[in-house]
Amino acid sequence: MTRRRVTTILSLGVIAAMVVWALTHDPNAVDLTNRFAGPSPSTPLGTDELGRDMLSRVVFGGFITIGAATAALVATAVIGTALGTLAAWRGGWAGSALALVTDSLVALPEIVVALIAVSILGTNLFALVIAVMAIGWLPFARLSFEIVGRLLGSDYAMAARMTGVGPVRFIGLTLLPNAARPLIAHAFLRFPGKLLLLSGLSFLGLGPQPPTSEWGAMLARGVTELERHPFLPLVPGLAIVITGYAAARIGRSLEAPIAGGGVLSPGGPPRTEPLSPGQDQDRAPAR
Amino acid sequence: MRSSRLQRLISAPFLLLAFSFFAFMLPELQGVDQARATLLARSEEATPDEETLAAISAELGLDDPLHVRYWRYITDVATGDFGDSNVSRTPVLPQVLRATLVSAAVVGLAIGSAVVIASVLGIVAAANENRWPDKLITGVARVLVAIPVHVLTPILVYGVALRLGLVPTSGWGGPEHLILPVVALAVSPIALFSQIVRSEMLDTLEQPFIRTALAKGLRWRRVVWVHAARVSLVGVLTLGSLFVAGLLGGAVIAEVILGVPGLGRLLHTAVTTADVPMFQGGLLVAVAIGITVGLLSDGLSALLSPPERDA
Repeated sequence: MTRRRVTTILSLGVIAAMVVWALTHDPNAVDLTNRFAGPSPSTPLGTDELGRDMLSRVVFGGFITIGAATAALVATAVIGTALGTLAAWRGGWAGSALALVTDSLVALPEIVVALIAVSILGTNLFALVIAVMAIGWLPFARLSFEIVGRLLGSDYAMAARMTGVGPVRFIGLTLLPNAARPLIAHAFLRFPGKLLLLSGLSFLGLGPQPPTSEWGAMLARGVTELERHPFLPLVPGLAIVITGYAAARIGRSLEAPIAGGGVLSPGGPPRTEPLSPGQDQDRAPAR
Repeated sequence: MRSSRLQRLISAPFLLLAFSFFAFMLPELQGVDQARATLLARSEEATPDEETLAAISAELGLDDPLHVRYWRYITDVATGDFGDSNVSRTPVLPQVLRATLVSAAVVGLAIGSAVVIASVLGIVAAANENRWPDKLITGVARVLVAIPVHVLTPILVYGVALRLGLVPTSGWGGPEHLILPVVALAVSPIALFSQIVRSEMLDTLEQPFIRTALAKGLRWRRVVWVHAARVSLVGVLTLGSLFVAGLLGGAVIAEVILGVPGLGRLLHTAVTTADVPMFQGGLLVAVAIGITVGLLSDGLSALLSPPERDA
């Protein structure tokens, strides 16, 4: 077995053990006699200010945080890809219009747009997901427009058209399957950004309210105890960082063969940097 | 897929106008009763009688038709009257401008130093491709990119302020208050930009003019740091200018944690205290800055890059 495979199996084992622990330990069970406890066999990651089990809370927080970020990401990917694909397929004014809209909207800071959404929809998980989606679809629209535009000029797209397929079959069965891999890679690369924005808003108190154990909210609560109990914010903080890093890793490995110019390109991984996660001013894809 | 510079230039004022309408409609979307909110701000009267509410509505002109109210709003804004804050009961605009200057100082320093540091790191990494300096820089950058501001800032506060006691944990005033926010905001761009500089440099180093320079007998060092760097840094400069726009209103988390009275914290406070006029004013300024800086960075990239060639 390669080292990588061992690491993968070990990580999956740790995650599985954590989930089993969380399912057998109540994340909201208060134990005031055991507040701010350090790691011990009965509470592997210690306890918080109410004596609640941190390991169980961080796993349940993960369900909420990762689940909400994934929901927002899938929705943005679908909306963005639909718009980009339709605009590329229609061409002409539709393409220019989409270009103008996306170029205008990227000028807005993502978190400001999210603040607007929260101010309208209130502080809850649904509002948070909408806030993250608000302009998150832009990069997907751009990327799918690029890719589909390129595919439209290919010989097989021409061939498919000449067989007289309808637009639905043409887009659904000819274009999209070939655009899927770079789009999925891009989705993984975008995931850390979504995770950070979502937990960041929640950190600011604009997400689900206590006692929900969302990572950003847990982090914010922990930071208030930073001076005496630095371990408390460390747990959700590390959870956010590790999850984001892992998603970016997966995205890079999915994207790599494409960036090298074909799945079968020899000579090791290409060194082209992927579109980066994090702040949302992406490098404009090659014209 | 990019619109042309001209298209963007022409559409900018319309975009701002469209956004002003959105900002104007915001209280309706939020379901805020402006007469009630204003009265609450003035007299802390939580259960007003109908007469007082009607008087306030008349005073604010809330009973006029929508287009009349929008026209009044937009002309007020154009003459610099953004209304009064519901919380402090003082005009919004001076507060927004003060906050913008604070943010501009922090963000300008952060992005400026990020561009310089990232350029050096990226060039070093590219010049040593796949050797240890490259692996170190790239590896650290990939981890740093995944560390969000709301994780990084508490770490900085704990390490630099609480444990080492080098700087205050939060607040605003002297130059010592600048250090934590600037570092907190610079780390992620440094990680991101250094990777972009690296890949641009690697592309550049394969170009024929580099081979020519080397063949001429120029030193490798000079070729890397002067010839190749010049071409490769255009992208990161324009990207940096875009980041300035994004962070001017978007440095919300760092500003809130560190108590920096900038535009991001102003927006956050306005949302949490339901201070509608303040939020509208802050939004308009943030968006106007975003649009303006976007246009400026368009201009910058046009100045810096060689004429666009069609391959």
